[in-house]
Amino acid sequence: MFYDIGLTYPEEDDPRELLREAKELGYKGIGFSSLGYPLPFKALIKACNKIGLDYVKRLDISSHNKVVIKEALRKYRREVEVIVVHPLSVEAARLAARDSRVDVLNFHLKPELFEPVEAKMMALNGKVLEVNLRELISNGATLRLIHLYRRMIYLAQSFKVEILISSGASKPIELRRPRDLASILLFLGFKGDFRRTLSEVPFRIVSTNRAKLSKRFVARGVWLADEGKI
Amino acid sequence: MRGRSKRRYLVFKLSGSHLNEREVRKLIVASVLKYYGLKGYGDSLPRLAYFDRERVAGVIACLKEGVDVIRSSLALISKYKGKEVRLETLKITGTLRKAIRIVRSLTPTGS
Repeated sequence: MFYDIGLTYPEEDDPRELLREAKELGYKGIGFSSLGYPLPFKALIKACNKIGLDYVKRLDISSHNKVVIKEALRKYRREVEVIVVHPLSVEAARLAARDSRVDVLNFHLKPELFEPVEAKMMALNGKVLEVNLRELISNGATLRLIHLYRRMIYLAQSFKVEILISSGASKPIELRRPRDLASILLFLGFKGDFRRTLSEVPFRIVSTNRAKLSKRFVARGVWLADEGKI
Repeated sequence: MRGRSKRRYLVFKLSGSHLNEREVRKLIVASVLKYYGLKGYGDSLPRLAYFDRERVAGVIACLKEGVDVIRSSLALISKYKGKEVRLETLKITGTLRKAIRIVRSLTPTGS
């Protein structure tokens, strides 16, 4: 069961082509990064249902300011299934690593913010690091890029931060088979079962948050018991 | 001296631009050398064992220990001479005969 929840929405082309290809390559679910533009959630869910894919509602928040992040979290946490924060300052990164409403952190906009203190906080609070392989796949690997990715993965593994990978594909040709995509982690120095980063990790985030969004969830640690069963 | 190393056969499919056997061989070797260097190449010893032009698919023979090296090198290929390509690993088998059978079972798409 593989999930790629970091695809890039094709603004010019029809997204259905991309969805069909994802299904053919063996993905069970997909999600688009919403960085920079609002996504047509309803149309995407409908298209995915038709193809037989599970659509994951994902929200990307990017800011220097922690007040802005907090406000967005308050507003959207009960509406989307996965929240990814792209911090642009140290204070925003620390807040995202601490706040229980954040699921995933992505440091591609400011890689220098992912350092040992941040990694330690993320591990303590059970946050997941997103590694988007778009640049590596579509633009080809440069030494700078390889160094950046390797550093990120080394730090995450040293502090036991869980890693989630995504292809960031915006065209069908940029998509990779799940196992092929995960195998790229081997090149980046990942040690362990790299398939988990595309299957278990995203599935756990999505299923936990879906359960929280259900009517049975009252508050953290408080769930409604099954109706009619005593 | 140890005995003969075990080999694995990767069935792959080419999407995007149409390349011939020579170009595919070149692309695979270049990618393994680019991302893993001579050591990685030596540890995996890839060889294009079979290529079907009609199905734009083929088989790469490599050492068992180098399967993930080859798989990731193929996944990192995105362009050849400015054209977009994708090499996807469909299956890994233990014998060449079985790998060729899988390639032949694919629907012909190429010219």
